[in-house]
Amino acid sequence: MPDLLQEIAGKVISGRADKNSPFPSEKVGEPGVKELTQKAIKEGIDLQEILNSGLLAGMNVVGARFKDGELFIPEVLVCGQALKAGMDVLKPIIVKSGLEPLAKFVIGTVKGDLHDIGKSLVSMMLQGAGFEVVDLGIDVPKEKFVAVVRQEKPQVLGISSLLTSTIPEMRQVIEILEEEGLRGQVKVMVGGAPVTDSYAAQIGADGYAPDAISAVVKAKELLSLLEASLR
Amino acid sequence: MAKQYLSLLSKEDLQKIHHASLSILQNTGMLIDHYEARKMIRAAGADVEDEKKIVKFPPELVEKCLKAIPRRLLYAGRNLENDIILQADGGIYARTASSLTSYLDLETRRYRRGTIDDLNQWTALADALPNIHCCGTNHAEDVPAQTADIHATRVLLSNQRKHFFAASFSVKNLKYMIEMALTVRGSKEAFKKRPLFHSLIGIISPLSIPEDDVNMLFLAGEFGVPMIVCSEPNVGATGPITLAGTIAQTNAEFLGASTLAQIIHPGIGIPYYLLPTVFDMSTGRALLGSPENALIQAALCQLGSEFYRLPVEISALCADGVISEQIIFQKASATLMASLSGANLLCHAGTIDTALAASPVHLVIDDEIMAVMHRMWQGIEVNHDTLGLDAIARIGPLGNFLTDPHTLKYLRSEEHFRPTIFDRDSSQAWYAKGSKRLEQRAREKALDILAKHEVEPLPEEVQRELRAIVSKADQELIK
Repeated sequence: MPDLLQEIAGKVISGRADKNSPFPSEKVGEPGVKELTQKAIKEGIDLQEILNSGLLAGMNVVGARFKDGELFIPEVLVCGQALKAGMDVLKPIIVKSGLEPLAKFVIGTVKGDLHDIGKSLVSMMLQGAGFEVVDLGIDVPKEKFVAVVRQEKPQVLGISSLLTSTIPEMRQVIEILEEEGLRGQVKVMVGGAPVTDSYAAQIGADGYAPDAISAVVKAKELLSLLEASLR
Repeated sequence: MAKQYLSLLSKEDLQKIHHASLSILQNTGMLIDHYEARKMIRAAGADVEDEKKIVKFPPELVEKCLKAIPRRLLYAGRNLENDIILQADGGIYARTASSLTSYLDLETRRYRRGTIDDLNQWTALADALPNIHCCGTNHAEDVPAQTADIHATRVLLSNQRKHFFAASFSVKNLKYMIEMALTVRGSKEAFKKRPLFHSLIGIISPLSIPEDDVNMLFLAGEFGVPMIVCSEPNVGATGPITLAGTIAQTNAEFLGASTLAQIIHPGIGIPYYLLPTVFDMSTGRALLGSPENALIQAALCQLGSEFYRLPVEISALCADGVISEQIIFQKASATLMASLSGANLLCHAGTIDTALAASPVHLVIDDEIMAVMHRMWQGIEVNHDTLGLDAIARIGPLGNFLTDPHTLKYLRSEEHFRPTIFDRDSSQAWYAKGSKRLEQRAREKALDILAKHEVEPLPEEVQRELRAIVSKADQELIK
């Protein structure tokens, strides 16, 4: 593997997005993932290689260290931002060259619920894991979820609700997807403090995760299920 | 008599926090998603940016409104004997948690979603326990989700006699809840004088008040429903990672919301209640039982009581996880700190699993913890009689005090706490009595109470009317 790819992975692990990143403070001015990814493209390294052996390889290490309790969420998010800086450089070229696009994840908090942090955390963690995330924000009407699923054709839809009063909205989103004939093409995940595994099953969701980290694991699991079912 | 024992913060620290909060409100301001309310605040002298919905509060306005908050808050029960009065240095009380979605079954010990039957059991228990003074509405899964708050309110009104806290889903739902409470009280005037329940204004931290919560404030004030400000910044995620920073922010959220409240309804009852959580950097969970929670709570109690002289409520009876030993330790240590720092109402009795579940066993244990807290809070009375000089003179060297009049006088007074479930037997006696652990003792006490305790039912026609209001709400609110 070229040294440059290892270097990219290293920058993802240390959370350096670009040369202006303030983190880590002693490295200010040194190139980050963005510059090194640009350099790798210029050197003609295979795009898939840059993605897999550079960016995602770095993020895998971050994920493993997080799982071991070595890294905390803010550190993982900073690494995720570094990864995204590389993705932003790579994605337009990948799309142009007709390579497989990355899995897409649409996410939002249901109508009537203005809670953002849990959903945003999941969204950031997914981006950090290499998903393309469409974040619809908070207070999202069910019709909007359905319209976006139709338009964006995500592999996974994530619905969030924190309030006991807004939880029923999640069931309704799933029901409309069903009515509109869209349910088969997308895996649905639900989350939020009062949600449980059995509640998720009860309302016909495909998956539930109790926190942002397991949400990424769950999303990957659903993705492979979806791929298997489409094969 | 000043009753606060613990001063976690210096007078200078309290000043610094107050000024930091004022500066947050003046420079960053709060997002208030309510046009009418912003108009009223602007008229009162605040700087309003309507396009961004931002209100910047001048310190003079905040301090003026702070003075208008009642220093004495009546939480009325069904009858006078259930009333409690909250005020600085005015004693410590406890209320159960609210909005819990799960229930730890008393008999099967299974953890599951809560139902109306559970709420009946829970409220009967709360009604009977002497150190629980106020109740909260839990979520029931077996009634329509859109009106579960209204169904729960009916249970709280009929099945127990203490004042209660009812979180409403929306201003539409709050209307029915108030209508039911007025039915029980007999009239709007009677309710205003003796409000049976209080509700909440939700804050989305950082620094944002949703439209519907402002609507609730408008409605509540009209009927004299006291309101707590639910500011729940998550230390490190929706509030600064430093404890002082989150304290300054949550205090600013309280001051902003209470300023708004006093402008809309001058004199509306608002206790000093805040509920910061701690963001677990390893899992993203919001913690309620960490040492940082206890420190923040103690600091807020001191700020509310010593500095603002307001009635203070704090959710110190919170804990993380489901391991009993850990839960009891977390609750007891945080509650002791809060009780000695100026808290008047200790909230979230009976809750486990980071305020997600209600456990009747822990409600009984918390009742006992509160009895201990009450004893601790009372402290040591020092006067001529309690010094016992006469008794000591009577007994002299080598005698004993057991049958002295002084002993008999204080024998059944509040001088000594007596446990109901905490065990004081010798190991031999404990084994002989079946070696029951604390949870088992609490469970047996709960079952015994439930078998014997009866709550005087509301008059037949009132019960009928309450049911009719709930059905009406179901018809009108469920789409």
